[in-house]
Amino acid sequence: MSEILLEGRQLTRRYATDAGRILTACNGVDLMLGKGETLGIVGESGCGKSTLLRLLTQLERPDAGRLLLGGEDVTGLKGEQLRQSRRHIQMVFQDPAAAFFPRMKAGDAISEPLRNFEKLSRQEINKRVAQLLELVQLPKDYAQRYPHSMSGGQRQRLGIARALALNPSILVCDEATSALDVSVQEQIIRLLVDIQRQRRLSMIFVCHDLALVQSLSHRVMVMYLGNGVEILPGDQVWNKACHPYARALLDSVFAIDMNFSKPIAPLEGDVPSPLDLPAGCPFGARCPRFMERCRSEKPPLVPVAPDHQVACHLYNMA
Amino acid sequence: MLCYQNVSVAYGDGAPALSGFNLEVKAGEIVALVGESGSGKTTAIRSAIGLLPGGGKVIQGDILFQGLSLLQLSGEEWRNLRGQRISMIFQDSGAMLNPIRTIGSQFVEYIRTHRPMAKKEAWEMGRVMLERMGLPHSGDIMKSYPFQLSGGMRQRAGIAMAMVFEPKLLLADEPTSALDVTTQAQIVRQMLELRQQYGTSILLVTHNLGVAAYMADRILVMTGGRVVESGCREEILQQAKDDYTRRLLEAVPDMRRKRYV
Repeated sequence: MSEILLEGRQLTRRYATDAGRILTACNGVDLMLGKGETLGIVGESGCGKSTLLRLLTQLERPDAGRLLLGGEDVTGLKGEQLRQSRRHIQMVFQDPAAAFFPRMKAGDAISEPLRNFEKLSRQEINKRVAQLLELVQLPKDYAQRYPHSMSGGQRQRLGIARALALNPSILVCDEATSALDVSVQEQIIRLLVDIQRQRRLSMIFVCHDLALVQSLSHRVMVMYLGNGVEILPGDQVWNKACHPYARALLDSVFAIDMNFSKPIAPLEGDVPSPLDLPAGCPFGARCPRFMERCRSEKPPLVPVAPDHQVACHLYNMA
Repeated sequence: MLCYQNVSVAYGDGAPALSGFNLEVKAGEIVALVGESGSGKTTAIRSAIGLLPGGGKVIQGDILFQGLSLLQLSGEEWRNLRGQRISMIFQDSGAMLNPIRTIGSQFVEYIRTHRPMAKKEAWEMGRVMLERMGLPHSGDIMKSYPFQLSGGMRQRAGIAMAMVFEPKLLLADEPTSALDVTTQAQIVRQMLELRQQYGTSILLVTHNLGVAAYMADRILVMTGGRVVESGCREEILQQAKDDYTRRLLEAVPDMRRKRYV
């Protein structure tokens, strides 16, 4: 991996529920993001993806663990320092229809981050807005439009323009294409990948569509119940993923290039509650290869090949 | 079983959302309508159960169910048909259920609306159906509120309600789109088992070409209210003739072939 830009060490976030119990949304997640790299994060509802993103974008502070940005510890930052640090990580949201204030024109919406951080003349702002619109391949006169008068794909381009306004080093996409039709989805992905190449932008792409995530990520992290259970290069996901949960996810994907005569053997049951996490392996209760050791001992994330780490006792030789 | 004859549907005075739609679904057959937003696939399926959203009207053609024209039915006739012979499952059964009533009370009401029987008897009928849909602890689920169940369990409860009278035709509008992948796989298997057990015909609307290809005997690709291509899985996936179908297939992410980085 090239120069490391963002690093999370044992990031943990717990919430107290009304009943006085503890919900562990993120349970000691380790991750690294290199410059110009895309890290894909997959997992099902309730696996802690969104909480992890809130920690990485410094919207919430971890209860334990550290967050390093450009080698500098930013975990405990407050006030102005926090505000300045946040500009380096910007976010694109899932639903572009809900991500814009409906009474703000597109130009004002995408220049808002600029106006928050820099003192610019009206002229300069207009110039920057025009550049941003060009970057996301929208006509210049769209600056005068309202978001409701655009299509879903155009609005998502606007969302990308706004996230790039401050020229951040990291772009975080939270299900940024899930609300779009496939053909529009593809255009947005191509745009993101183009911009990434031009600017050597690092991206974190959270998505539940495994096929999509692996196709655009350099590395993919699979999450389950608040834990990172496997990290591996995107182009190896199909062949080399070995965590039993990652395999189950792969077996559940309906793709147009799948083997259609294969019977579906879905994982039974649902993800257990993140309240009072089990002591051993988080996947233990549903794992087809459950062993006695999994009951009491939580498997650590260990390397099995270069760039490939798995948290499973089956692959932990130590 | 179900036959659309040159059906066009329009909302208000606007251009038709569905034009000249023809389809025949045979007994025990699974047919999938695929397409992007606004392609008319939901309009097509909803017109077969007389539940077009406000202002929607069939302006041309006829829809026959077991030889009976659906467009001439009175309210009373519809009530006899819906639920018992044709039923529907929705994208999110959670949104269909009343949040402040238990699954059981709604299930009992549903059963007794269609077939007069004692409450106790209806309760048992519902509970057994939940169990047949692979829901463990069905007694507890009957007593639960919708928010206490996961998305997959709610969807199964929705399917259980739709299947309780063993209808001949099941209309499924994006039945797995709101679900996680492993839950989606469970529901797809469930629907295939329905056909096996009860010989149910399924008309499926989905934007997920993978699900359509796995489940359906026949796939219809729609755009702009028209069917542009139809055929079996191989014909659509491997020998697509229509430009739109090819572009659509090209845009679908897959596991092995396509990479952007």
